[in-house]
Amino acid sequence: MNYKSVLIASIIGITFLGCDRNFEEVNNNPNDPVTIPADLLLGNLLFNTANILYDVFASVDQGSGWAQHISKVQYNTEMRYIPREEAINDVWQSFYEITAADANRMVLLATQQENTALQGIGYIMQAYGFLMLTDIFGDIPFTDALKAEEGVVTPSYDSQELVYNGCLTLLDKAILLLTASTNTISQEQDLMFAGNISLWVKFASTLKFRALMRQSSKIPVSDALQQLVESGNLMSSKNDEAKLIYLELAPNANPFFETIVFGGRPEYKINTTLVGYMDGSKSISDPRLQSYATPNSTGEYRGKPSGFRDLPNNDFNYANVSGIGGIYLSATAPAYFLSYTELQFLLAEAAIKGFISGGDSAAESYYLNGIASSFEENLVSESFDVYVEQSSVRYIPSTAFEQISLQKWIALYGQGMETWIEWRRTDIPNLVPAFESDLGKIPVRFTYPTIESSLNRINYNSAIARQGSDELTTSVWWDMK
Amino acid sequence: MKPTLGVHIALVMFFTVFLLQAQTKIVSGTVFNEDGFPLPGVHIQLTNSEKGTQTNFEGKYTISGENNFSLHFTYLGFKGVTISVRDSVVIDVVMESASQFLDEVVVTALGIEKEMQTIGYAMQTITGHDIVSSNESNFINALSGRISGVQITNSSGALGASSRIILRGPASITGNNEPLFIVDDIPIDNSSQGDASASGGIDLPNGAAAINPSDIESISLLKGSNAAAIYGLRAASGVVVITTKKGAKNTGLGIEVFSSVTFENPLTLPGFQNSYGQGNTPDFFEWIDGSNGSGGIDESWGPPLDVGLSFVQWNSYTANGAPLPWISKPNNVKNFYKTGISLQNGFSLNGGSSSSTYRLSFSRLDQEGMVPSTNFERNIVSGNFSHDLSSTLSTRLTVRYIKSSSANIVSQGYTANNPTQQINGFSARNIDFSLLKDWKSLPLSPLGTNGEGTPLNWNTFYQNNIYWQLETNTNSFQKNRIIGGANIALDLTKNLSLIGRTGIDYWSSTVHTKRAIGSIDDPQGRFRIDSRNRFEINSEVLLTFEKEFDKKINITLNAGANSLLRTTDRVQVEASQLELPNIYNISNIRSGISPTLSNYTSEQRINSIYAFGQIDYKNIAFLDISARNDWASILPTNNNSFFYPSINASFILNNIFNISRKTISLLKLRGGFSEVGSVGDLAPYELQPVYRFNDTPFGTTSLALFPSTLNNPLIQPETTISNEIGMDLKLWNDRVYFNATYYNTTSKNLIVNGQVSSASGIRSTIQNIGKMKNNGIELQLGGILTRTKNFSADLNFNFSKNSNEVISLGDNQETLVLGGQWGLTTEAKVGLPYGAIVGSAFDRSPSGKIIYENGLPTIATQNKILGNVQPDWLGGAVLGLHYKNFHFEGLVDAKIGGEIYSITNTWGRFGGILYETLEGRETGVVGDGVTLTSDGSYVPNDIVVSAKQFNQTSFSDTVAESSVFDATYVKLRQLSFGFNIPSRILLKTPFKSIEFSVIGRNLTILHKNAPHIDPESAFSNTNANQGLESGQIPSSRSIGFNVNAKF
Repeated sequence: MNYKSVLIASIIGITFLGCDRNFEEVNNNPNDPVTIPADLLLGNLLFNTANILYDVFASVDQGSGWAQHISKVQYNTEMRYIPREEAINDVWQSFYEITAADANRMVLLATQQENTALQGIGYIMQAYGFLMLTDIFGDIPFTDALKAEEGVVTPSYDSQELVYNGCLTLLDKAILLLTASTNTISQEQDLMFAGNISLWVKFASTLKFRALMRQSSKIPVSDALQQLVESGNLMSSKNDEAKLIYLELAPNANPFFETIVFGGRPEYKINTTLVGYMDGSKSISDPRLQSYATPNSTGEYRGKPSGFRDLPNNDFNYANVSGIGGIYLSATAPAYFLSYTELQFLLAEAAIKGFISGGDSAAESYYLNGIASSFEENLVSESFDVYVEQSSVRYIPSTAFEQISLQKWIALYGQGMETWIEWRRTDIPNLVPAFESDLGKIPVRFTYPTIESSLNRINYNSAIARQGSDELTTSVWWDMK
Repeated sequence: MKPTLGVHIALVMFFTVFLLQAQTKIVSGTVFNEDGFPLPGVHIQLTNSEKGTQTNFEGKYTISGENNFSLHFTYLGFKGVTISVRDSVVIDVVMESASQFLDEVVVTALGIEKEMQTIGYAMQTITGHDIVSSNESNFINALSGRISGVQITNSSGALGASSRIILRGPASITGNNEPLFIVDDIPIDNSSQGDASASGGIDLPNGAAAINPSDIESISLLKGSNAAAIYGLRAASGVVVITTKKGAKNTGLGIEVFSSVTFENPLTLPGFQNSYGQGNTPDFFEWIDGSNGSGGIDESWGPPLDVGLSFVQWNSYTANGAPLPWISKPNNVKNFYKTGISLQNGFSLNGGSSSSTYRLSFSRLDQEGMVPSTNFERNIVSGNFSHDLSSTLSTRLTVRYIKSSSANIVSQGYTANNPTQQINGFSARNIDFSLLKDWKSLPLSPLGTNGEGTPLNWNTFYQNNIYWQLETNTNSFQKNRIIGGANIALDLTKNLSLIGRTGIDYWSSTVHTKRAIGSIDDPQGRFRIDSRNRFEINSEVLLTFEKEFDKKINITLNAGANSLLRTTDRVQVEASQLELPNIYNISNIRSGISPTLSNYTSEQRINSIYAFGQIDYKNIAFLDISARNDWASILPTNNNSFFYPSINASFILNNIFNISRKTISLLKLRGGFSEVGSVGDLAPYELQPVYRFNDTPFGTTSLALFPSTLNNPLIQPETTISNEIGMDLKLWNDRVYFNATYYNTTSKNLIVNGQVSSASGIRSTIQNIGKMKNNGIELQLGGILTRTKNFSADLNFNFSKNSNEVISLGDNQETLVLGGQWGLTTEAKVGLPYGAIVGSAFDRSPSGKIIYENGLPTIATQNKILGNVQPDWLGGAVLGLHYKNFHFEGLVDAKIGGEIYSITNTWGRFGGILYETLEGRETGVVGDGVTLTSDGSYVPNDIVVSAKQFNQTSFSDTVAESSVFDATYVKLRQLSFGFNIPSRILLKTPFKSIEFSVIGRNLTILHKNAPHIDPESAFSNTNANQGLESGQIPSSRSIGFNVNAKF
């Protein structure tokens, strides 16, 4: 019968169409690109780096909180030195997987695409990521890092000293490439400098300056610092500073705004320690306090000491402690990668320590520059003259290091990670541990993410064997006194 | 139009009126087997016409005819009976089995019908009647406790909740561990489009829940891969084969109408304290509207209730700001839930001529949830048609259309949008939530509060008005689905036949998430559309050869090929903030914001050829073999072909030794080996590394990135190797049966997104590194306790125990996080069963006592293993009683062992709302533990701390241990009571049968160890969402009233 043969034929047809014909084509990804122009990675890389620098749980609860700029009237676990595992993970993952790794991929793509400027920028951001990681954790994978595509998934840890060396090399390579480059980069993607390559050179140089200062207690840095000063490549004004300006609205607004304002977390308040250096009680009246904090319900600027388990209570509650100032909670507040203000204080310190030329007179001028720059950030420049005339602010050579470090500590308000890292280096001001805290000491590093001890066990174990146990209180190399 | 309860009652009354009307002459009766048991499904044919019918589940039939006609009764395995009819109107018939091999016929893989006793592996079937009589709208739930080796988890009591089904234990680490579902030979998708997790989202029905329970004829559970092996790459987690009802040839028009109404109430609510109200300390309370940056307190550590105190409270505006009495509201949570109503209505038409059959059905499910402003609807139309074109060529067409929708599915997890968060999470025991109900007439939350501009709530900082939120912040869902298949069968010769079939499963779904301006979690509002569709077509040919040699050896050989094509498409768009309130259109996005956009499209194919066969030697020995080769497009082209064999054998010893059926009616030994596969959670396009764009640009700058998971061009499918042996015993003419199966399976090359050190530049790589094993036993024991002409009782037990162990996760990894909440994780951890619960724990002394410092427990620096999601064993017991026209069924179902992490306990203790927090409110608490003394010894803790300090230190996200509980439960799953109107009453009516039943489901938890919650809780049916509880909508206790009538 006819239909029978049709049926059989069609069935046989189906069967013998071929078992995997065209399968390669079927499995070609229609959704995502296999390769992209190198600078397309830059925007996300900068945006995510800014986001982790300003991640509230990492940089406020732990950074600003441990450096005693910020305090909370509820939920003080992290401020009692029980760190949030997720915050530790986020810092580790973001700086590695995005800042360092995408910067590395950008270098590889830029090399293929013959864009030396983007190669240079890739090196800078790699160095930036590794430096943050090593300052926060201590010894970290560096030489072996970022090699997953080559099959290296258990990278060994390098000493902090070696990481620093490597980062300085990356920065030197970047400066060379960028200075010689005739390539252009996308203004749209360059969320920091809008494609201005000379500003990238200044960022690299200033970052190198900071890195050298950080290890200055361990190795001779004088020549390198002096060279940087003479190169003319350090940031020369606030216009040069490395910052990303956020947009008005989530998810592109400043994370402080998104978490604290938009997310409704008003428990973040100003810390008594900081207020103490600003409200006149230590005979320094600082007009920046009005920018740093909001008046409490009775119109005063009142801080809260770090710590306490069981809050709020009558002593410290939402009403009677001052909140964080509006310009720091603004959606469009910048994320500083490295500020001109900080550079000025580093220069001042380098000058008094004789790392760079100029001695006290140069130091004083850098010191005042730093304060002026900070006043400008806080929109109180008109009060600068009165402020610096106060006896405890006026530059005194015998206490210059303490003054510079204290002013740097005050001026870094808002940059939680950097405040905490620099405080660890200078130990100024003298801070006492939080009330009802779990440790007798303020943390001086993050513990490694718990998962490292299983995913990368052998290397993790040898790192802690070298560096010391994986505790919050184990000092990193440059911090060892 | 929604049928109301009134319509329902009218429907019931309509039938009743019909009953009383006189009609023409009818013959009725019951068909029994030799042992006096009713036989369902017996064909009854009028010899002088094409008219015919079938007996119902109770073996009853009704048929009308002209005077002096004969009835011919036929039933597979029985000798036919012909009875001529004169005057008698009731004819009971006893049918004799045609041979000594009376056995049930079951549907196995690829729709092949086999006699149960010839099968060499463990499988179990459940009838459609058992499904319908459980009154569950999601038929998966009806399997609870009835089948050994099957674990059902009904996620929650929220409407639209998914149910998870696991046969024998998880075979994959990251892949879907639920079985493949086949409906009338068509593979169907069982995925849920929900996104529920600990942090929010919604749970939506698992795909198979789209099957109308009353369309189901039977369900076969191919529990092990031995049974399922012929499905190759799709069989690693077993197969659920659903056969739907069909019309029968030579029967007249049969009409079946059913209608049920079910009332649902929470089964388990937390046990609250009612002695202390909102606040932080017992001596102070001030209601703060939240406008000055303070939240007020959402805990219940405040002043004592019912002692004559008054405070200014949230509703003091009704008293011109004056203080109001401070009194307890013991039933405030209970009263928040309303009685959920579930209406199921439907009808079917069926019949057939000598060459055709048909069945058409319609069903409608209409549910209103226990949570106000939640609902769920489902309409299903299905048709099943067959027609024989000639004596050798037959065709069949099945089609079903399912439309499911909900105006609002309740949000899950720890989010302000989950209503339980503010009633039994962080709550105040002095709040009468019902005062919030009429939100339209409440004042608005003051300026500067988080809920600014929305109706006032008892707390304006952490929570919105609960009723406003449920009405306004909706998650609506709509899914349209078509499942259809065409089947042609051709007998080529006497021994050779050919089947060709094609089945499609297509659905499209849309979820709209609306958040009003002023919502706590979305202060500027939000609108999201998630739109998906999925299409799958399977085309198959199957050639069958069957021949008996020498009346001793019967050989069946089959060979076939299958081609699968699956495409998916998804578009997600979101306005993350809104410009104008109450306008839910993506274009109403707040100025300056870019919409979040993403889309994904995929295509994959699997081609297969297979062969299987059975050799039957004199009904004594059976040998089954199968072999399948799959080619999958999502695997690397040079390594995409995989071969899956199985072999099973069985011996019927009583046939060998000719033992009398009166003593041993069946003694069968069986055993086998199989190898099957799975692609785990590997999706299309996961071989080649790619870059990706972020869903949201930065302003106008597109953001590109390299994904954190590195694709692997060398990936292989997962393999599960399984061995099983078993025995089936039936005694005394099948009066008692006992089945036992032991299996062990090893799953290897499991595809794991192996986490690697982020320092390598990526977070995970897709690798074949996992290895896991399961072994276990399944036992079924049951039989007839007693039977007389009017009364029978039968009792069935089932038991299963599965031991699972994660053997390996590759060289560098010891654990893989599956899910979690609040820092606790559920993990696949090497050396432990799948689903280890790992979290923070108390620091303990060498003797195991909690170490206290200053009167408070201390927390260990290292996380500990606190439990495991896998149960120790599962069991069920079913008692059935029949007395005349009455029948009763009771089902008890147990899951013993396993743990669950309960956030309801954590924050309920932390926030002082649970009754345990009363201890020491006035006098303080001395925690049970030890303190380290200066000489290094431990002495009992004797420091008194406040109850608040004690609870807040012992229960919080920093210590998970105290909130991990044994998840054991023994549930009275079902009590049902039914009544069939006696046939003699129906004789003069058009009805063939009418059955009324009352069904109680989940009536009580007979035993549990986890306080305040139903330990059968999950966020959804996925691997990641098991063993976790965080304010799920409580499971429901339901009472349903059903009526089922046949014309």
